[in-house]
Amino acid sequence: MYGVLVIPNFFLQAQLRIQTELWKLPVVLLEEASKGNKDRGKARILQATKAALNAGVDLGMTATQGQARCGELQVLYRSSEDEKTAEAMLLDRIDLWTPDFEATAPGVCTLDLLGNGEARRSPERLGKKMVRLFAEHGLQAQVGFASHPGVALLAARQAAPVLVVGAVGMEEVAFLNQLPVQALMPSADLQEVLRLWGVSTLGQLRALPASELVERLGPEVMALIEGTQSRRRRLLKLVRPPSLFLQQMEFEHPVETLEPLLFVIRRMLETLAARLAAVHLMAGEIYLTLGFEDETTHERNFRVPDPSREVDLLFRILHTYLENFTAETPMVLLALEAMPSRALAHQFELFESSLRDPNRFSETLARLEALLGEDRVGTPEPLATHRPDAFVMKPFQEISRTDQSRRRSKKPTPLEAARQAAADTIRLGLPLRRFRPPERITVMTEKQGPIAILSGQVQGPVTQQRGPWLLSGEWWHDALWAFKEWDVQLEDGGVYRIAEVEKNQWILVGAYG
Amino acid sequence: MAEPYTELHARSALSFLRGASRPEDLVRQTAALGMTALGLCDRDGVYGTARAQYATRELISEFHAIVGSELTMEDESVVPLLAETRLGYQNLCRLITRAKLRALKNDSRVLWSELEEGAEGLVCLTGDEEGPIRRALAAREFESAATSLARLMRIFGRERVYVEVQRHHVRGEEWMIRRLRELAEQFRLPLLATNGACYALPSGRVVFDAFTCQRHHTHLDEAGILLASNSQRYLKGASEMKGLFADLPEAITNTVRLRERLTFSLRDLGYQFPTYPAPEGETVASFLRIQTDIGAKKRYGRITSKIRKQLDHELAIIEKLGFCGYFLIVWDIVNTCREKNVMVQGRGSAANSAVCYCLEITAADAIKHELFFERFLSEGRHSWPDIDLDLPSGDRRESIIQSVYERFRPNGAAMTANVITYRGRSAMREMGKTLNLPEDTLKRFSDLYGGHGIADTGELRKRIGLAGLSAQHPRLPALLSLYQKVYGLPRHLGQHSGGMIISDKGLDSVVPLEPASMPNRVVAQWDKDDCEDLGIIKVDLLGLGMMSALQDCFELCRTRGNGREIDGMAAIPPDDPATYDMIQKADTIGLFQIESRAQMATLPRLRPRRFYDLVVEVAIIRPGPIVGNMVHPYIERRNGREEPDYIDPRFEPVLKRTLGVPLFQEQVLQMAVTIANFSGSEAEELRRAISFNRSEERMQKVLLKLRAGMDKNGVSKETQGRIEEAIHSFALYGFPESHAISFALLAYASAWLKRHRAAEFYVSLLNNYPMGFYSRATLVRDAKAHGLRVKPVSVIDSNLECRVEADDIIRLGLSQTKALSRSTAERLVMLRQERPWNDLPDFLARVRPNKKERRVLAKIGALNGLAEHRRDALWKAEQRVVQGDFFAKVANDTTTELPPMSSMERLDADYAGLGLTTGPHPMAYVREHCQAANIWKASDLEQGRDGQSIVVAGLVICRQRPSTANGHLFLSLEDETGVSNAFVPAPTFERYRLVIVQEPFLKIHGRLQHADNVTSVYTHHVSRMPFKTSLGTESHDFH
Repeated sequence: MYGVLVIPNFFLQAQLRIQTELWKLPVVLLEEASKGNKDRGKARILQATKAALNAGVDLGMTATQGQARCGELQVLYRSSEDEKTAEAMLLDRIDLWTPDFEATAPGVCTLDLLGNGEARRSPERLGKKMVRLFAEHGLQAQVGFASHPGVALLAARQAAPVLVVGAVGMEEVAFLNQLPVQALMPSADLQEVLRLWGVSTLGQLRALPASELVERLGPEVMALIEGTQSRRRRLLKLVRPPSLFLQQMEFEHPVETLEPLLFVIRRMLETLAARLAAVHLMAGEIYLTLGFEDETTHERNFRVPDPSREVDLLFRILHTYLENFTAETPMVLLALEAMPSRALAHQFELFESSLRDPNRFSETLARLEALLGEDRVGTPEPLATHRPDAFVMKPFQEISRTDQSRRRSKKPTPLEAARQAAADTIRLGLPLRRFRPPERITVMTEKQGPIAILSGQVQGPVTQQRGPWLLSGEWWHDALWAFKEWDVQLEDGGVYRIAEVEKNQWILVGAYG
Repeated sequence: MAEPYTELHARSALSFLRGASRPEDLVRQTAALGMTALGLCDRDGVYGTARAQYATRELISEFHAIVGSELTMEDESVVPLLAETRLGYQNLCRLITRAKLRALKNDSRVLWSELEEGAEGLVCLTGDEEGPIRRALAAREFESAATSLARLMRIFGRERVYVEVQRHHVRGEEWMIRRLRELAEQFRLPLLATNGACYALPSGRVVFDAFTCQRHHTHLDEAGILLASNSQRYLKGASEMKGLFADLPEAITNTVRLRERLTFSLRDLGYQFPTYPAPEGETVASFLRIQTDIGAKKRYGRITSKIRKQLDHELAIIEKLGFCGYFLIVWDIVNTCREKNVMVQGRGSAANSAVCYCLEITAADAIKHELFFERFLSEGRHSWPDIDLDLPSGDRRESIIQSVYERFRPNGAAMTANVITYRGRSAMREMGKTLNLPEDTLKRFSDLYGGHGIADTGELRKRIGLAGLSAQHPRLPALLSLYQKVYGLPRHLGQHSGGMIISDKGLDSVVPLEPASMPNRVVAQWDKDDCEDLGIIKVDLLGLGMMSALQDCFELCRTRGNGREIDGMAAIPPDDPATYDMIQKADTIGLFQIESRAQMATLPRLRPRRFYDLVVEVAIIRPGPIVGNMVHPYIERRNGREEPDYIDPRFEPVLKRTLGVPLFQEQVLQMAVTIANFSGSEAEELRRAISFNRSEERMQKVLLKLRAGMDKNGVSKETQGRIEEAIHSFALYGFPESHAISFALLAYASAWLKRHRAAEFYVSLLNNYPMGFYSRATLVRDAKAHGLRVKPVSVIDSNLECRVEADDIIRLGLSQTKALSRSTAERLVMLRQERPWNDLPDFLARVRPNKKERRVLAKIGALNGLAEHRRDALWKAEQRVVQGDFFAKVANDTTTELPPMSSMERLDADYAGLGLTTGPHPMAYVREHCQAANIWKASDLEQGRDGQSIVVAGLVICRQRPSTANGHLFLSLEDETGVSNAFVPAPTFERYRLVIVQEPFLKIHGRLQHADNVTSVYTHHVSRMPFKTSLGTESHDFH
C-alpha cells in the first residue's frame, strides 16, 4: 500500500501558509520571468486561488490580463525561502506515519505504508488525519492511496481531499480510465497532440492501438501509460533526515550572566564536535542564536577560517564575542548550529601565503569587531563613485575572492575601464590626510570663497585658497550629496581641504602634507 | 560684434545619448544669455545643425548657428571640427559619410589619412577629455600629446588649430590647463576656452547621466564614475566664462575672433537639384513644354483656350522659379514606374497642377476641379514644391526606390531621416531601467499604457501606481522628473517611410549620409522638415497597401477575362449609382480611407452622391474637424438644417463648394489672399504654419500679419474673430484639396471594385494584408456578407496566395496559414503542378513538411481532401517519416477511432492556425445563450428605439481613442450579423480600462443612439463576454 500526499499549488500555498488571510481573496502567483530572452518581464500566472479562478483568471495569463478579469487581484512572486520552509515542514511531519517516504517533487511525498496498520485497515481515515494535521500547519493537502506509487500519486491529484484506489476503494481500472490525460503530466508537445486528437482521458488514450501510438508519439506515450500500470513498480528514493549539527536549549530560568551561558555552550560544542568527528567533518561556520524574554532574538554567524572541530578553539571564538555582548533583557533560549565542512585543502598562488594561524587571526578580528563594531573591521575598498572618501569595509576573505574573480574576467566593463583609468592617473602634489569622521567647522566666506576658519581644531585667516571643486551625485534618491571643496592655506602655513556640504555647513576634510 | 564670448563646442541631444538638450533649446538659451552665435558639434554628424539653423531663422533673427562636428578618429580619440567655409563644410560631410558608410551603425571611425585629405576649410579644436591631446596628457604620455598636436598642426596649419581649455570645477583640471598652456606656447598656438556644453541648463545633467547609463547599458546604481561629477556642462554666458578664465583672457577673446572667421552657415549650403539631361537642341524648359503638350493632347484630346491658358500660366511660373528640371525628373521616375509596370499616382499639392496632370504624375484633373495652383507653387515660394508619389507597397515600391539610388549613384540619393523620440512607453521603460526599477513593473506599465501620451504628472503617478510601484517609492520622484525631461528628446535615427532627397553633384557634400538598417538603403542625417527648411528637394515615394491591392485586382480581372477586365484606374466608370449606394450605407469595410469607424459614422449623414462628395468625406474626418460626437457644420448645412454662412461675402467664391466651411488648406490661403491681401510669400508662410507639423509660434506670427491685413481692409473685429476661429477649428487639420482628390480617387476605385468585382477585390485585399483597419477575419466575414463563398485552405486546391475560383467563390491561399513556411508552401505548389497527390502519405512523402507544418495543415482542415476529417488527418500526419528514406511509405489504410472535431473545436483550430475562420462567426456559437440573456445582434440595432437600454456583445475588432477626443473611446464589436459601434465616454473607459484593453470579447451595456442613419451604443457598463476558447483574435487598436 502506498500513499501520496500532495499539496496542490504548492508554491502558492507555501506563501499563503503564512498569510492565511489571503486564501479567500483572489491571489495569483507568477512564475519567475525567464531572464535574457525577449519575453523578459512577461511573467505568466502559475498558480491561483479559487477566488481568482472564479473571477475568470486563467493560468498562463499575464498579470495584466489577470487584473483585467479581476480588479482586486493580488500578485505574488515565488519565494524560494518560503518554499524551502514549507517543504522542510512537510518532510518533518510525514515521518509520523512511516519512516520510508520519498520527496517526489516540491509539495509531493510518496509514503510506503506497508508497515502501517491503519493504512491497511482504513486508509480513508488515515488520509483525513493527514489532511487535518497539515491544515493545522496552514497547508491544504490531498491524499491518495493505491497499491502502486504512480497510481497513488494520480489518486492524490484527483482526491477531494482523500481518494483510495483499489482494495477497499474505487476500482483501479475505472479510476484510471476516467483520469484526464493532463493528470499524467505529459510534455507540452504530447499534450498538444492529444488535445488536437480530442483524447482527454487515459481511457481514450488506452483505447488507441498501442503500436501505432508509439509510431506517432514515440516512447514517451508508452512510458506515460505504463507508469500507471501496477506491474511496473518502482523503488522509492527514500528521504533520510540529514545529520543535524544543531543543539538547542530553552532555559527554565532566564540567564542574566555569562558564566552559566558559557558552561552550556561548551557542553553543546562538545556534543557537536563529537557528531562531526563521527562523520569525519569539521565546523566551517557556527551559527549562534540567542532568544530573549521580550521575544526578540539575536543571531550571529562565525566563520571558522580554517575549519576545525577543536572544542577549545570554537569555544574561544564564541567566548570572545560574548564577552562584549550585552542585552537589555535576560536570555531564555540558546541555539548553536555547526555548518559541516571538509578540512581545508587549499592551493595557494605563487605570491599568496597562508596565515600562520588563520583561526587565531579570525579570533583577533572578532575581538576587534567586538570593540569597534562589525562594520569597522576589514579592508576599506574605495567605491567607484565621485563621492569623496566613499568606501566600504570588505571582510578579508571576500576581498581575496573578488580579486580572483576580477583577474579571471577578460574584458573590463566600461566602469572598470573608467576606474582603471582613474587609478592610473597619478595624482601629483601633497598627500592628503583625511579626518575621519570629518570635523564640523565654521567658515567665514566672501564672494571669492572662504576667508577664515572660525572654529574647529585648526583656525585662522585664510591666506590662499583654490577652488571650488564641485562634486554632486546620487540625485535619483534620498542619498543625494553635493560638495563644494576648497583647498585653503592658513596663516600658520598649514594647507587644508575644507568643504561646504550644505548652505553654510562646512567640514574640515583633511590636512595636506 | 562686441560680444565678449561665443560657445564653440556644444553637443545637442541629436548626438544620441551624448547630449541632453534639443538644438532649439540650446539656441534659445544661448540667445537668452545675450549671445548670437553657437558652435554645435554633434558627435559624428551634423544632425542638430539644421534644427539650430531653423530655430535661428524662425525665432531669433541675426543668430549664427556655426556648423561643426566631433569626429571619432580611428584611435577612438574625438576631434571637434568647425566649418569655416562651404568647402570646409563639404569636406566635413564627406569625411563623416565615408566613415559611416563603411562602418556598422554608430561605430564610424575617421582615418587620420582621410582627415589630411579633407582638412581644407575646417578649423580644428583639440577637444575635451576625449580629445587626442588631453587623453595623452591624462595618461602622462607627454610626448604622445606633443606628437598629436604636431599632427593636427600639420594637417590643418597653424592658423586653423586651437588648443581648447575647459573648466568644470573638477580637481586636476588646473594641472591639465597648465600642460595645455605649455603645449600651446611650445607650438605657438592660440588657446580657446569652451565649456563643452552638453545641455542648456544645469538641470539637464540628470538626463545626461541617464543617457550615459543607457550608452553603457547599465543603471545609475552601477554607473559610478561613468556619471558626471557635477552639473557644470551647461551653456555658460560671457560673464561666467570670463570669470572662469580671468587668468586666460586671450582664451575668451579668441572665441570671438574665431567666430568672426567662421562665416559659413547652412544658408550657403550650395545644394543644387539635379539637372535633367534635355535632348540636343532643347532646353529643359522647352522640353518640359513639349512633354506637357503631348500629355495634354493625350489627357484632354482637344486643348481649349482655358486649358492652354492654365498650362501657360503654370509653365511660366515653373520656368521662372527654375523648377523645370525637377518636374522632368519626377516625370522620369513616373515613366520608370510605368516601364516596370508599377502603378503610380501623385498626390499632395502637386495635384493642383495641370502640368502634373498632363505629365501623368497625378490623376486629378486640376482644371476640371478648379484647383488652386498657387497652393502648389507660387512666385513667393522659396522651398521646393512637394510632389508625392504613391506606389504599391512592398517589393514594387522598393524596386522604384532602388532605381532612384541606381540613377544617382554614388551618393546622389538618400532617404530622409526620421528622428525617433522618447514617447510615453519608451520614456518610461528606458528611464525605469536606468533607475534600476523592476522589469515586470515597467512591463505592466507598458501594458496599462495603451499607446498614447499622458499629459500631466498626476495621471502618470496613478498609472505607475497601478503598475505596482508604491507612491512612497524613493525613486518615484526621480522617475517622474526624468520622464518629463526626456519626453520628446531624440532617441535614435530612423528613416522616413518614403522621403528621398537627390542631387547629381554628390549629396554627401550637402549632408552626411549613413547606412540605414535596411539593406541597400542610405539615409541622410536630417529629417524631411530639416531638408525642407534648407531648401533640399524631396521626392516622397510612399507605399500604399491599397495601391498594391488595386494593381493586383486589376491584374486578376484582366487574367480572368470574361468581361471582367478593367484596364486600370482610368477605366473605372465614374459616378456609378450602385457604388454610391453602397458607400451611403457605410458598407465600406476594406475600402481606402473611408472604412474607419469615424468615416462610417459620417457616410450615412453625408450621403455621397458624386465624386466631390467623396473628396469632402475624405477631408472631413480628420482629428480636428470632428471631435467626439460633434456633428460637422458641413453636414448640418448639406442636410439643410443650417444655412451656409460665408462669414464675409467676399469668401463666397472661395467657400461656395464647401458651403461656407473652410475644409481645405487651399481655401484658407485663398481666404487670406482675399481678405488680408496676402502676398505669395505670406501665403506660403501661412501654408507652412498650417501644414502637418504645426507650430503655435509660427501660427501666431502669421495670424498677426493676417490681422494687420484685415484691419487694413476694414474687416470688423467680430468677423476677424470668426475667421480666425474657422481657420483654427477646421483648416488647421485640413488636407490640401488636391490631396483629398487623389485619395478620393483611390477610395472610389476601391469602392467600385468591391461593388462590381467583389471576388477579385477581396482576394487582392487578403493577399496584400496587413493594410487598412480590419483583420483578415473581418474581411472574410464581410466577403461572406456580400454573397461570396470563402473556401478554406486546401493542399489540393489552394495556391500560394488567395485566388478567385468563380465570380462568387474565393479560395484562401496557403500563405494565410500561420506556421507554414513560404518555402514549404512554394514546394507544395510546385510538386502538385508536377502531378496531383495520390493520397495523404504521398503528400507527406513528397512535400515533407515539418512536424509543426503537418500539424497545422491537418488541424485547419487543409488536408481534408486526403483524409476523412481533420482528426483523421491529424492522426495520419503524426506518423513519422524518416528523413532521407525515400522508400519509406506511410501507411494509408489504418483507420482511427478518433471522433471528428466539434464545431467549436474547429473554430478554435481555425483561429489558432489561420487567425480567421471560413465557418460561422464565433459569436454564432453563443447566440443561443445571448438570446437568453437578451443580448442584441448588431443587425438588430437599427430596429431599436432611440434611447432604449440594450446589451450588445461581440468580438472587439477596433479600439480607437483619438488624441483629440478628450479621452473618449470608440469601440467596434463584430458578431455574425455585422458590426456594432459603441461610444465609451472617458470616465467609463477609465473605470473599465483593463477589461476593454485586454479582453477579446466584450459585452456592452448602454443606451441606443440613432442620428442621421447612424446607430451607436452609448456605453454605461462594460464586462467580459465569457467565451469557451481563447481565440487568438486580432484587432486594430489605438492607432
